[in-house]
Amino acid sequence: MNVLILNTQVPFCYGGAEVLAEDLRSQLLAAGHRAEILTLPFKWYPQQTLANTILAARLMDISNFNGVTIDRVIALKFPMWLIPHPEMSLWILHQHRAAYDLWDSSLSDLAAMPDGRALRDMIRREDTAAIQGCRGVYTISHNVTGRLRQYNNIASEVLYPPPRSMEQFRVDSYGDYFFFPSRITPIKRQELVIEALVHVPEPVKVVFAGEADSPHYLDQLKRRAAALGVAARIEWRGRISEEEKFTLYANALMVIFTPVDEDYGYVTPEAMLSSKAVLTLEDAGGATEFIQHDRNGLIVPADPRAMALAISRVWNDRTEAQRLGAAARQRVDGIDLSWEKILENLLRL
Amino acid sequence: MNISWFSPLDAASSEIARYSEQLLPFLQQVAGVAAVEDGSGASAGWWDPADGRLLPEPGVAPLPVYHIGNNPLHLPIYQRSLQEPGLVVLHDLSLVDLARHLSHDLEQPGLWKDQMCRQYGDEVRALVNRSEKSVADYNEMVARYPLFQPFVAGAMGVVVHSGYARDALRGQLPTGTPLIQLNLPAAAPPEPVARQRDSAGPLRFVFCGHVGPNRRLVEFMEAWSRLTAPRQITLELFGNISSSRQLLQYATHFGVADYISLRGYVSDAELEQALQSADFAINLRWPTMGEASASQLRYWSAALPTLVSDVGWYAELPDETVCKISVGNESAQLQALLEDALASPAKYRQIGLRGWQQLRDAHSPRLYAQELVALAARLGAGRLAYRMLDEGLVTTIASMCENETDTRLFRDAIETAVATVPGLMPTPGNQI
Repeated sequence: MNVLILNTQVPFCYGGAEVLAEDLRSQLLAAGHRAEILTLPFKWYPQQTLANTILAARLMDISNFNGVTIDRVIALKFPMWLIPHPEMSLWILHQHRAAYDLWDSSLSDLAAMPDGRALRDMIRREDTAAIQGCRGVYTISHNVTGRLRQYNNIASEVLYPPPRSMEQFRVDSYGDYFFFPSRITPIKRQELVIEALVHVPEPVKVVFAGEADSPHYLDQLKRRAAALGVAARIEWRGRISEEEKFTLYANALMVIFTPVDEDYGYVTPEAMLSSKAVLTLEDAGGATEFIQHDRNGLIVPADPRAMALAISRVWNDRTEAQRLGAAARQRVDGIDLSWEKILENLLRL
Repeated sequence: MNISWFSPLDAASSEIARYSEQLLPFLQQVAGVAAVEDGSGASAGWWDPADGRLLPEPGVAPLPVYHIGNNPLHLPIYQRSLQEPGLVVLHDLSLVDLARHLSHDLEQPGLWKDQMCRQYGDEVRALVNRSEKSVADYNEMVARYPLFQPFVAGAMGVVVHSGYARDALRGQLPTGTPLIQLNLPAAAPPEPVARQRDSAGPLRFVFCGHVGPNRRLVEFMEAWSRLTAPRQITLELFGNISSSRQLLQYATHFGVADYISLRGYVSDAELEQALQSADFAINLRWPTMGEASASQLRYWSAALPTLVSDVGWYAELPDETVCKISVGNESAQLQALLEDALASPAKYRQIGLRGWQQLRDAHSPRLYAQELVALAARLGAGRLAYRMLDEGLVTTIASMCENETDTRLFRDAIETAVATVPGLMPTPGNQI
């Protein structure tokens, strides 16, 4: 089968979506299909550009190339599912959240555009029409499925994406640092962790790994840490290799993951595969789907003092970190994270 | 609902600025005010943006409200209105002076004449040409052919302050453009001025504004001179009296110069004091620019009986609230009225009182603000503040087409564009 994976591209940005697309392609190839990733540049500002991008997607013709018929397309992100194709499956990572769940938050740049509301309504209309016309509608988490139901009144099934190189996650020790791997961006709320450290009397260390969306924001966070007197307790590792990632997971005391209503978040299953409990927040979305508070992780309100209490608790009782970590591994082992199931669904006619 | 308010800002020299200053507090009770400026970016000294209460309305640009009147203060406002569609409040129906300033600014001296001909046809060109040399022809042009079309052509909705203006605009706006008439607002004092005339003193008249031929002061003096005892009347002139030399020559000719005093510009408080101690106001106009008179509201505020010409907006006022003088029989009517006013001053004090009541009951700034914001909200709900599809898209397609047949190659793109952005209507700028 000739399969195209449709993803967007934001030049110089590499994250979970790119990992997922590449892994999906590898698995399709391994299963004997021909597969390629087709990307369109995605720029969501100013509003004219966003509107034009939507139009551009609608105008694409990807039915066949050079006489080679495209048998199936799998679209991952907005606006790729607006490209017409009769055999399209969706594995939705997320919709254009500024037009949906983020609309009422301060994180929606769309809401700050002069005709943002009209554009938001257009996006919702276009999404609904296109998604309803697809062969199969799958998402990467119950959180994304819930939003699709809430905003577009469309039902979907969940296919959790397996972390890359699952078998390589391991546990070596419960060391002296908390590990927070993620893009450095406001929506991941690293700032909240910095603020929490002010209220932690113990000499706790936090290791942040991941690229910053903007150097300006990273500088801002560093200045904030310095101003609060906690800079010495933070290590900024930037982008790390896969090897470094496995090792940092393997030796962390616990993993911190504090996104705003995350779609899914590889961090959670990766930490659990490393037998590490995750400290997350009540409003962290997909991150909370795997975690049961006090059984295999900790879920606290999005408040620096509540986070500080949880951090101190684990720091002062390493056996607690081990107990929660072991339960986390047990929990993730019970979840079907297999590519076979994913391909079977996405390619089903 | 948030609005941006584009208006002249110097309340000391513009009645429209004064109107804005009075209205803004009431507007802020029913809408968020995002900006108050004159179109060129200058903001009002009397309006503190910190007092502005913006309403949470994410993804919706404030609706601009443009105040258009017949003087160059409104030029930057008009030019701003071309960038973003909004609600136009038309303060004058004849905007020929504004059009002439625009022509001068654009270095296209004939532009305003072309605009006149576009609105009324080529048959007015001769009159338009003559109007540059003859006051009578200018008056005739203004009275019979008020120029407004270019200034409302792009409006999403129009507010006028008179039935006269409303009737003139009806049918002249693009189909579906809302047009509403609201009474020009001004706050009435809680109690009317208690006015008792000193029976031994003269009847004191006041006049405010620009002393020009359309203010009919010569006709007033002529009638005045025919009274048995002209000394029983005095007249104080306030405002722009720079062109009063000729008027004084007439006054001397009619033998009333000794009873006239030229006060010029005075402070607001001083003017208020003068209005409160006067017995009558003169607010005659012929030809009329067609719209409501802010001065009239001021006279009513002071419960002053007022002489008005029975034309335009003045003709629409309730008969018992002003003294209407017909244009055709001006001099005789004025004389009769002056004689009657000297004989029965109490009757005219009642007219002043009913004027104050009219102001209180029919010109409430609170109601005006509510109705204006309701219209703005209606317009805001269905508009795009800015083009969503880049003009570049259309330009690119157009540049690829040599003839109409070529444009069919892009039928998909055009149909998709129209289907993607509801309400996207071809405009002269984006037709292929």
